[in-house]
Amino acid sequence: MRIGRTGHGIRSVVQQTVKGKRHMSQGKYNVILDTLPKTESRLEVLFRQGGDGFIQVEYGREQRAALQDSFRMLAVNDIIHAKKIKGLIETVPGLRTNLLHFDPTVVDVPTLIAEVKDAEESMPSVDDVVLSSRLIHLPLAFEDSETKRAVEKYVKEVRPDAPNVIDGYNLEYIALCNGVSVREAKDMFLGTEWFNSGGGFWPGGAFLWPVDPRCALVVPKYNPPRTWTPEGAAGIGGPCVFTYTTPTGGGYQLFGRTAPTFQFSMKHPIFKDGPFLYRPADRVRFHEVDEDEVLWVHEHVHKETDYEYRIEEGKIVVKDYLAWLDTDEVREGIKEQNARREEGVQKAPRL
Amino acid sequence: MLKVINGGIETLVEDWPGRLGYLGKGMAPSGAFDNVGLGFANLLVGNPAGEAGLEVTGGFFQGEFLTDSVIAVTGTDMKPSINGSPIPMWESVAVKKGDVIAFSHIGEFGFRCYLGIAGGIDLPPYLGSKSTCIFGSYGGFDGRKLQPGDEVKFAAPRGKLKDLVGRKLKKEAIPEYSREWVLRAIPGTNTSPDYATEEGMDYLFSHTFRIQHTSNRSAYRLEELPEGFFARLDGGVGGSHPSNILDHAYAMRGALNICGNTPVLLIADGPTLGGYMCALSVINADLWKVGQGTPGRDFIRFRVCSQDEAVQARLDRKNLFTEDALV
Amino acid sequence: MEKSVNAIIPGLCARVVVNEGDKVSAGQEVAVINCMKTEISVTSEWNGTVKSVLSKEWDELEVGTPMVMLVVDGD
Repeated sequence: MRIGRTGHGIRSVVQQTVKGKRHMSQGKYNVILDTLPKTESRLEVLFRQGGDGFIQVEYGREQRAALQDSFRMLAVNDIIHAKKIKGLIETVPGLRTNLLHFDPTVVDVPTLIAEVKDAEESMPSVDDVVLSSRLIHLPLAFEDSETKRAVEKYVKEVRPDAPNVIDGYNLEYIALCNGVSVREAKDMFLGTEWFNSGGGFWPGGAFLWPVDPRCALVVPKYNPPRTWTPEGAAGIGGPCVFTYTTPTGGGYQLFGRTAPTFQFSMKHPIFKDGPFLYRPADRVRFHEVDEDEVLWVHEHVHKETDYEYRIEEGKIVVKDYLAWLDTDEVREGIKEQNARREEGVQKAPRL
Repeated sequence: MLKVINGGIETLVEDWPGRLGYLGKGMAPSGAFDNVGLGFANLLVGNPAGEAGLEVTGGFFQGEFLTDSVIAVTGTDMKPSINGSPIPMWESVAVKKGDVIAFSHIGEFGFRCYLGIAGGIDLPPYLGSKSTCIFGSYGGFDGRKLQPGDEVKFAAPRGKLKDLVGRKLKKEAIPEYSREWVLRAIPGTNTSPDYATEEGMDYLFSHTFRIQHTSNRSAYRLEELPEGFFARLDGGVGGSHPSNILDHAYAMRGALNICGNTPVLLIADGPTLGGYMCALSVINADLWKVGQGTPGRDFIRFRVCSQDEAVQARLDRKNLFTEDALV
Repeated sequence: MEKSVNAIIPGLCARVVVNEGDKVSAGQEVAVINCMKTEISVTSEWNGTVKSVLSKEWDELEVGTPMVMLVVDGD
């Protein structure tokens, strides 16, 4: 469809306007309400209009996926929450954005922006960015029978020739896409902490990013998606790990099963304040167990309600993280893994 | 109590403003799709405007009252009847134990009707709301639409039943329905010049879009956009299509997601986060109109609105549900 | 007497599940409409015989669009 042919469509109007000068964030539909300039410790901050009850805080004008943006966004988010701003209903942090949801009959836009600016300015240098972050230890059984059943069902009912299913599972495909062996892929899942930049996609879910970029695995998602995935399934899609909070469809490549991270009924004491385990800024570390142990954990979370989650309080010092990223060892490691992935991508079948 | 004889096409327990504060936990606000319809149904039976009632979508709901009560029906005219005799809409009506209420198909205008019950619906709120999220199967009545045999309990009315009968909305207070719904909207978060062309945004704010028949409580899908809408060639690290963006939270309810070339209004049970740009947001005070927009039949048009106008519209709505609205 | 079984909701015709000459009874599904990403059943109010099928897959329907024509029993 090309509306331009109708005479008052898009195309004809384009020709009239290209002659005029246009700058970023100007014009009729400018939605950038305010900005903070870039500093040595952060990108430019943009305040975007998003409806009468929403403002989006954005870091930078480029789409970039960098954990340090998320660290800072969440550290600022903590300060915003501590202010207990009247009329602010919630904040919804993403990797490089934070959505402020507010009641405009209680708090107005300039006040809200001023509060966020104040929170931003309280961390002028990178030394100031320290993020509270819990470390959650989760048991993981690779290639367990339940997630294998989900893959089997997919092949039987959705895509019999699925190239991402090798020997009845997705682990081989995950390894292939990244130019590593299955054992190496497993060690990468186990070898890093996985950082939660925020949830929002599915009840209780979290997008988990590798803190150690040498353990980064990148895979395409199922095409088409699965119709069923068991609760506790651990999968990877793009660069993010996701642990399935409830049984549902889904598109992440499965590599195993872990403990419940969500409970609708809120019976287990860890869920007494809400059905969710994950909070933004949590880190997850997986340790390998056998399948029986995962089954035992599910039983003791949902039925006996006496499973003890191992959660440590902790923090992320962003300056230290950036310094560590910049060491020769890490930089070399990233380079090597990128090279292996590039080779892997060539060999792996497309979905 | 009301015993369901026929659940109809989709009948749900919903309140207003729904389940607020859980977007980051992946939980949509849900809530009455037409909050004005629900608000008036509640006002008529003496409830606070946001109390839970039944949202009847598409029609054909049927149920038997197991207790005496006072009810009010608002929204699209599904020819509501008690024991086969028509009952008036937009006014409160007494019902007796054993009475059977029945709804037909949707009326000439609108898609949903609301059944308000004196006292409201007696269900424990889940995370602060009695609303059903059918997309995630939680909240409301077992997280699902009503089925034959379900028994919906009523809470104690706020006043004597006989005093609540015959309350009637002034004619001028009844909301105006149409087949072309004009929605006031605020541009953002992703507009021209960085994501869309100015001409593309003009198109969005001038074209009359047909509501696709696939629209439901998660998303109202509109007609595809023409070429020339996007200012970018691709979505960069967000993805290959220019509508792609790195995952960000959606301004739910009301955001207009551009999903590939298809504009999709995110409402009620819609997704709270994802990897598509959002070009505008319908103001909170106009969300009710989306709920009356009939898939496959009605049209939607967007009109630019200022923040001041949107805030005033919220205040005006709050003032709708007072005794002044009654005859 | 002839009666038409009509669409009960706007949407797309998913399918008509009866053929010309079929006997149908009251309450029996004769067609299915796609609306709200859900399949919605259209049932006959009468016992009778299918005289003609008036809708086909992908047809756009309004409330009241005739989908199936019946010759009702007992005439």
